Amino acid sequence: MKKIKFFAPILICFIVLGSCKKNFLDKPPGVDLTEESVFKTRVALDQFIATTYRYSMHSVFRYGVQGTIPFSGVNNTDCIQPSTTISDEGDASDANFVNNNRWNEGVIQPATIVNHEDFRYFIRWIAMRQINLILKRINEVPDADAAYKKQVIAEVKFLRSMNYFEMLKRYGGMPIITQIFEPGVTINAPRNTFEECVNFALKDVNEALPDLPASHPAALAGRTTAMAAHALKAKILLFAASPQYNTANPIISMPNSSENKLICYGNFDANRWKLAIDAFKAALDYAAANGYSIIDIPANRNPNELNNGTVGPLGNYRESWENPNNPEIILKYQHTREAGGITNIGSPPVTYINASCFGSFWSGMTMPLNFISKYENRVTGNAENWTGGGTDLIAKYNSLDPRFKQSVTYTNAYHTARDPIAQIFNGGKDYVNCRGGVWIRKSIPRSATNASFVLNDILFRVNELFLYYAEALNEFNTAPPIEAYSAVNVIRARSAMPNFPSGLSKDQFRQKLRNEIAIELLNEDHRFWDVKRWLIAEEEGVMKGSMTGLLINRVGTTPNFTFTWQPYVFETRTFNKNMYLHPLPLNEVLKGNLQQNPGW
Amino acid sequence: MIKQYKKSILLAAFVSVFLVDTLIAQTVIDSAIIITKGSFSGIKNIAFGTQPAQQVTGAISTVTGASLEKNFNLNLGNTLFGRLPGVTTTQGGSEPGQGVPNLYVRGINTFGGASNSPLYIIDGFISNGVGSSNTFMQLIPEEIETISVLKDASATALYGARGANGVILVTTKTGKEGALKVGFSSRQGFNQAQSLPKFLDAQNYSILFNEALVNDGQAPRFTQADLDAYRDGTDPVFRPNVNWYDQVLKSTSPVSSYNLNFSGGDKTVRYFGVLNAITSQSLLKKFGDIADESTNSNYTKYNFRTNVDINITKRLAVEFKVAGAIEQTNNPNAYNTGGTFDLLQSLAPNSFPIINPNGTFGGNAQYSNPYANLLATGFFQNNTRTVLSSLKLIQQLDMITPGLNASVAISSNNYFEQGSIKSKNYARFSLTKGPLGDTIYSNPIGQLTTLAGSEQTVDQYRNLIFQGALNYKRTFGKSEVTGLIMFNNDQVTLFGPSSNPSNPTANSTDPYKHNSSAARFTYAYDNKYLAEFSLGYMGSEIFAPGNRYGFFPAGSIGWIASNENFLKKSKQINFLKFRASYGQTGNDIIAPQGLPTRYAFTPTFGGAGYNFGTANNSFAGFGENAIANNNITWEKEQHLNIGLDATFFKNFDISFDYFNRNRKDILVASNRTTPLFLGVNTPNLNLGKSSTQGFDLSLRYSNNNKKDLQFYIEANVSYSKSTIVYNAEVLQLNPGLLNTGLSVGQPIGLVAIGFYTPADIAQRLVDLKSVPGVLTEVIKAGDIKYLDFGGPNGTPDGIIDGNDRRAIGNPSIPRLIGGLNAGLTFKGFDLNLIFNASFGNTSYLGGTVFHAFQNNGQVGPIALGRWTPATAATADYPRLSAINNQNNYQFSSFWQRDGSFVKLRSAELGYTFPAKVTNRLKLNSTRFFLNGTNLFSIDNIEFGDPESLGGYPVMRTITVGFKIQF
Repeated sequence: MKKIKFFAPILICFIVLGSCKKNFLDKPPGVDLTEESVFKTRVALDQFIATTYRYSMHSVFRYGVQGTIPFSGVNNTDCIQPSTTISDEGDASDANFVNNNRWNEGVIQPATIVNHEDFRYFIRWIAMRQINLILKRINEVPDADAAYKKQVIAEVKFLRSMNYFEMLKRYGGMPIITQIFEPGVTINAPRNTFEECVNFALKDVNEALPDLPASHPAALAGRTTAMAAHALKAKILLFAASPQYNTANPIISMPNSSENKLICYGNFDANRWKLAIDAFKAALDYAAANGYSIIDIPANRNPNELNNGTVGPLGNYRESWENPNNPEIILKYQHTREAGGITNIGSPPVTYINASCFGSFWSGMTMPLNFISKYENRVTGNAENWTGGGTDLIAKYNSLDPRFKQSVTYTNAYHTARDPIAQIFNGGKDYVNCRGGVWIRKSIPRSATNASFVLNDILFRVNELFLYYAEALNEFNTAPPIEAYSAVNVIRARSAMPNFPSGLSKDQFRQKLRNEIAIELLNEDHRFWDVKRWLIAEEEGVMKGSMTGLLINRVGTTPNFTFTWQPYVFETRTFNKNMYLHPLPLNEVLKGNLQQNPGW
Repeated sequence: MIKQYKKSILLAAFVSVFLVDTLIAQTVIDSAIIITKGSFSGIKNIAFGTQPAQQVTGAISTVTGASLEKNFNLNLGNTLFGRLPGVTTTQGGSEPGQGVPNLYVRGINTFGGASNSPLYIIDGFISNGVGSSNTFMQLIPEEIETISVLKDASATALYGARGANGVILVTTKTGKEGALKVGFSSRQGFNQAQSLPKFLDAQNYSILFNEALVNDGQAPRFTQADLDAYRDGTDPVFRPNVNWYDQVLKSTSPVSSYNLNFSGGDKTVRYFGVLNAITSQSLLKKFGDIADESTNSNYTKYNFRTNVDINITKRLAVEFKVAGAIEQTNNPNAYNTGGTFDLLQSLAPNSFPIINPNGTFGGNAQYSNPYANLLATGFFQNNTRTVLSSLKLIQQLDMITPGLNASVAISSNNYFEQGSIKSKNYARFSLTKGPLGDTIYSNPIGQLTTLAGSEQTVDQYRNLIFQGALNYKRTFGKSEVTGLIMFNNDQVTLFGPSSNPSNPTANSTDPYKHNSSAARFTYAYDNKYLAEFSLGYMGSEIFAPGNRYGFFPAGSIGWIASNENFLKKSKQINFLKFRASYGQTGNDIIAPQGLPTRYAFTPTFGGAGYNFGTANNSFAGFGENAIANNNITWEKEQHLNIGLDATFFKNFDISFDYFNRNRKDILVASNRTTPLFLGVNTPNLNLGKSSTQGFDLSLRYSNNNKKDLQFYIEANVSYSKSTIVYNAEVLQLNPGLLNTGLSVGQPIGLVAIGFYTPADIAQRLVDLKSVPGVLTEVIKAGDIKYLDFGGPNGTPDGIIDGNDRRAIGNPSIPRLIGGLNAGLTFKGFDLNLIFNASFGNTSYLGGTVFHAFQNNGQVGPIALGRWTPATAATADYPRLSAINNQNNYQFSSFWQRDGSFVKLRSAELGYTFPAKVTNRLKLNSTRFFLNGTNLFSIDNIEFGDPESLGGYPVMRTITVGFKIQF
């Protein structure tokens, strides 16, 4: 009996140990947020949508949002400027440390493409995953009504389409990813063809169109609309019809020519321009019916710029980018504007495009004479002659297209209250590093100060629909039809420029229209892509060859100063044919999934 | 360079006086040196049990606590140098209460965030804590019976997913049947720095600083009058020459210890108890004696232990152990002296006077005054309490079958570290000389405040462990059979720095839990043929359901050839055993312990949102941060061990082990190989592989034949080389940037190839890239020139940058370590020496101690060999530069040195009084001794100790003491 007494406690201990701990190793209840929490309530879903937009939206001003986004692989100082300084639109004033300048030197490399242009390469795939997750699980959200769910599905399909469009522009065909990869699953997703990607992007945007609203309440502005979907669809078709892609043979063949379909259609089909025409027409019709229009108040077509240190009247053109909420804007990237936020004259991204002489601390962007000379005579509509130099620069500027003075800060111009008269001449404080001769100011409102303001970072707007509509019409027809003239003349008229002369040949019209597109869409991330799509990037003075600036000297005595000017070559740029397409990031290629683009 | 211990003669004089004094009051001895017959007899401690040493088939090294007593130190880790073949002990600083060494068993066979520490087991229960809070480090040799290191899979498989880094098994002393035995020992002595960094005085500093300024294209700062004044000391106010080390440190600090232990018992109750106290002052001066609001820097540690074994009935026994350590550290200015030493290593001798003429503290805007920091910023007190307790019941079950018993045990360990601060600030003033030679004081830098108190929980953990076991042991004819089935369940709650330092949250105090069972079966036939099979089965809660449990099998065989008839009679070969083992173990601490990596199998969500609305108002976001890896698992190691143990000619023992460890499933980043169109931060995956090969060899010769002279000498050598076999790293066109194939811990840096010549610089002006250089600095003649290995594409690009890095030097953990342990007794005298050597490791000369004038720091004698146009041919240091030079002080081979050394870790000379003397005093034994640790070092580094080039120095400790037993 005694034995049992002492043995018993041991037995009991064993039983207790063995039985009580069935779930001993389970993780205790925690406060974790998981994928389940996203789809439990509409509130959580809306937060998830906000993050999806953050990762999905492209922007003209690429800058330090990288730091807060996982594995962007980019430093805060990479990709700080718009594509403006890569093409003949502009030049980085501090060329050495601005990565954009590596394009002008021709030293873009697969290892550094993410740092030098496409910092969203990684971020885009995060966006895709979140979009795919919403598409997969949105129906689980209990407190969202069916109409809202349909709208969200349409929104994220738009975003997916837009991201594929951005990849098409850079790389050609890329893998079409519609699934959520799970850990442990082997990922084998080779590049899809250019055509498949175009069709995929079009399918998404077509499916999105019926369920998107024409506009959102003011508090939700920035979420995408049917208007934006129309614009995106037209832009996709425009690129698809363009010479770079709508061709039997790419400008450089892939090592294995059967893979050329990754980067172009592999055939030419004129009807692709027709599809673009129809899409632009539909977009313009939808715009007219839903309150989107270009700003055109006749009195403001040719504002009288004062050049005396006071703010002049607001021209139509300037208003279209200076006014944060105007009917011309279709979709824009929504920069923060809270106190201490990112958008003021000394903070990114403005500080990366506003010159240091104007109160910022990074590089400004100057406009080379290559581009200044695109501004036509405001009376005749003919090109100005800039060879040989001259004695009165102010008079020269006065003769130019009114959009010139609205787009740049030139000698004696009003920049902001801090710099009411720009001192751009030899010895003037604002001439330091101003190699082109004028500073690009478009997108910096004249009211900009150290206080925060809303920056218009525009992804789609109405004026581009007119211009690209005209382009598609001209390219499809043997001679420019009357609709092409009227479309481009709408844009010229609102800036008091004479109409295109009638009777232009297809080629003459093309040249003049390309000039018009360049001027009207300055500094909004168009030119860099357009010159490649048109295959003219390698022409002298576009992305290759001499970049010219103005030597400006002040002569005379106060108050009767005059300014002499003399062109000079400040830079010779390199463009290699492989640069028509971006290299795929080296790390990704080395992983063995992606076929590198030709020439890289 | 051999560092002579200059004060030894003085010390000897001191000791003899002390001895004489003490002799009057006391008498002497105990058995001074354990000179056992051989290493292969007696009982060895193994996982959850013991085994006759002859029948051990795993790789186990053992050291006794009595032997460790020869090496007096403030923590247990520092006593292990050179003792245990296969264990690498790396010395950090030896700041009292702070500095503990790292221990590695058979090298480091993992990389990334995984733990490479061995598992510490005290009396069968796991022990916790890292660094100075590691319970193991707080034990004292006097309470330890043995420390065994389980090295191969056969020995550690029972610890399952925790055994792969080796196991350090501590067995504490227990009482033996017999009369009460009381021992008392005490020692007194002092610490001194084994080596301190050297710096140039104000005059030489100024000369070199002028040169540096000129090199940078600036005007010299110090005039000849300045230099003269620094030399003559005629202007201590404006041209001070302060040796800050002398101002803050004293040359020696006292240390003492007292130990009282008693043991005894009868058939029913046996007991062992120990009380121990150690006090040590640090090298900081006694600032508490100068100002009340400061404190003297001191450290005290009290240890106690009571181990009681009770036979309640004939068949039921109880083992009860309770032990603890209480530490208190007092320091002026901060919990530890790290900041003080950083300042001392930076502050130039002519920066400012200690005390200004008006009695205020000197200082400048960048640097505070180290003297004032210690005198006038209050004090920091740190208390730690460790309690280890366990209760074990053992029931003989021979009524079921002979040889069977069952046991259950519970153990609870607690650690708590409490900080108590009373701190204040002071104002310092920088001086400028006025036009009339008057003294102009700056505005105060810093503000005088009164003492403000604060109490802090610095660190704590607690664990609770249950164990149950069935043991079986029986002999059937020539067959001996043992069996063990056991169950272990533990939960450890970490809270504080080791868990989540700054921001404890709802999840950070979740306990780490393990459930495990294990079984072992051994078979010995005729004491010749041995076989053993072990199986661990362990579950850990840090893995996903379904992936928590795993099996860890191991097997070993042995052959005692010397028991075969053909060898039994051999006079040459007294003992010969061959053994081999193979098995799998694991390491489940795959990432640093703490919240961010706590549950890798759960995904994480959060993150920023976007802005909507016409005014761009921000909207909260909620995104996917990282996906989960449900398949995450522990590291697995296949460990092969082949060894032999032999005794020749009775006195010569040899033990040799070859091992091959292959580890897989090491956690590595996966986005390196996963295409990014996955679209999310990918979890780490168990893809890494490493392997380690090496050997442990120990030789022992003992001579105990003659009565008067007995001696032994024991040498051990261990070699291990660890290689990263695969780590899924980012693919590179530049192969030099890959880690795969390199050693674990391999430094990667630029390769220095001398200095730029003036011709190089001229050529660079013609074509920048023709002579490769960095773009971040204007390179001048005398700057360090590096090899241009390659650009991003793997081909040399004329630019020195991160792409030119290569494997340089060796890891800081030595490949080859050795120990030499010798002892002799002659009549009453005894002598014991412990040498420790380390080969093949690289030391790096970095920071302000070696990089002249960097971060406004000072300059050491190493810079005297600087490059100048005149000394270009012989220079061994780059041209001086007063700015932070972006070229010369990059991580490069230039600053690497061979870190090999041989050190005399410990020496003890003792005298034991003859029995007839002691018996008269009713004492069992009385012994006096003189002990020294870290007495000298032979190494290749001219300007310091390879193991501690900066910070709190390694201590050389000299003590004298006695031990009596009655």
